[in-house]
Amino acid sequence: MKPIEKLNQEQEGKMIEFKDEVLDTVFKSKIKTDKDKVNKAIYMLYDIAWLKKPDILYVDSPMGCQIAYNIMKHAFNVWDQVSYQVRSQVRSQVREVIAQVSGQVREVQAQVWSQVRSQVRRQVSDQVIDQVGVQVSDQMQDQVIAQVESQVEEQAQSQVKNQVGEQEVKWALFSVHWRLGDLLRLSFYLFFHKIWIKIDKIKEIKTLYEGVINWMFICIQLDWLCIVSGYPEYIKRDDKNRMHNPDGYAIEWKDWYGQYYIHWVWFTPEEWDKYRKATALDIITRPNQDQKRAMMMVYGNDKLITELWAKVVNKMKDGMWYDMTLYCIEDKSQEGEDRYMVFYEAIDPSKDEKIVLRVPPEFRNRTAQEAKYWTFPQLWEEYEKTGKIDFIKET
Amino acid sequence: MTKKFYRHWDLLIEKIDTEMTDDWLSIQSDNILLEWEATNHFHRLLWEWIKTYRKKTIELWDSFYAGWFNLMNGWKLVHEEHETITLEPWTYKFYVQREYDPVEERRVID
Repeated sequence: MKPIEKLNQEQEGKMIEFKDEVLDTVFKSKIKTDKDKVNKAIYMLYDIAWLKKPDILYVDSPMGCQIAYNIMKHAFNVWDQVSYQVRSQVRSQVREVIAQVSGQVREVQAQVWSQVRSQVRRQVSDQVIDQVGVQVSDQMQDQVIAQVESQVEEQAQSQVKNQVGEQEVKWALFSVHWRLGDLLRLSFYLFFHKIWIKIDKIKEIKTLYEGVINWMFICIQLDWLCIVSGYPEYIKRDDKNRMHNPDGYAIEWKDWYGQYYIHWVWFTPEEWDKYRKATALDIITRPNQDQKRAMMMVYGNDKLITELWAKVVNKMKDGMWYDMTLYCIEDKSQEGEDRYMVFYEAIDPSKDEKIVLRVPPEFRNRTAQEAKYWTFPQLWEEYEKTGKIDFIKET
Repeated sequence: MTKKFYRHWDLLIEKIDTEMTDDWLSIQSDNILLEWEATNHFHRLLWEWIKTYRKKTIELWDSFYAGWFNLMNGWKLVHEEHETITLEPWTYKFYVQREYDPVEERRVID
């Protein structure tokens, strides 16, 4: 087959059509729940790993998976180490299928591969950002899953314990395949198939795709049982698409299991309670540096400098109107330069508008004007080069 | 030659001498140059016709580089909280403000 240099109009149309289909299904609150399709995908998954047909248990969340696993484990007193073996077996076999498909696509369309790849993903990502504020590139999905997984593990001891009483709580590894992170990978192959490439294993890919979009956020694969978690009810993100919600759970499932994040930094429920009541001093003395950083972002620089009695290190007028001030707070719990937190404040008195931005620690020895230039990388570059800035107009 | 800048509070506009055409998508019909969803504040160009371009990828934010636009006529750049700026016909780049963070610099959302 002759390599395609560029998508034609019809193919581009199909790409948009396909993108909409995926997005509408997943992000317009239209997660399907056709369990027959999920069952079919799981049976096929086990089949290609040469495993016998499992029973399937549906739960609402990843924590629900762990609780179900422990209840079942104690009821039947089996499965030590089994989950790891099954998981590995499924992974290696599924990878083989994917490698075959991927090989076929690459071979035929090497040149256009990256173009289409980025277009499909970019369009999908943009669409999602526009529509629901969530980026769903497969990388991000994997990150979400990894994050969710590790925090479920952290909490499992206490939460699962509530359900299984005095018995020892066991952690079951989640599946590597098949789960949400695979959705775009699968849809990507399907798209190629739709536009021009014949793919030998397309039937398997379709079946797995149908399974993932119908229920499988994540699952635990055991030798005769597969425990499947549903999708979250919502995932809230910041402008960089990191899980973030200063007012409550950033991700929550139907069974009310959820996790707290501020700019991707995880908080336990106990830490969250403290965060809700934190003062500027509580924040600044917090030993966990990631949480401290995240909380400072939410708390607001202006409140920090006021409540912590920040020292004025430079004050000047910016032209006729603006007052500019540089403040410094010394955090004695830190070592090195980062013990100095320096803030640039500009006030437009005509509108009573204020902006307070953190600038690098070395600015405690510079002027507020220089700090202002630093806040725009292009200005700072020009200032360092020429020693001055020409504004045609500033407002 | 020194660079020429306009500053519209948290938006920096640079007058440039080159036309930019590659890799830019999306013509916006509402003339909004930059809009922060979080605060619903925006910088808007006012005229009866405009062609603005914004790169439609997320990477653009990493460099604090928001986009560019060509003006065929005189324009006014307005924001509900800041003084209006009149721009002459030219090509401009615009950038967003940044803030220091010990781990990674952040762009400022007004």
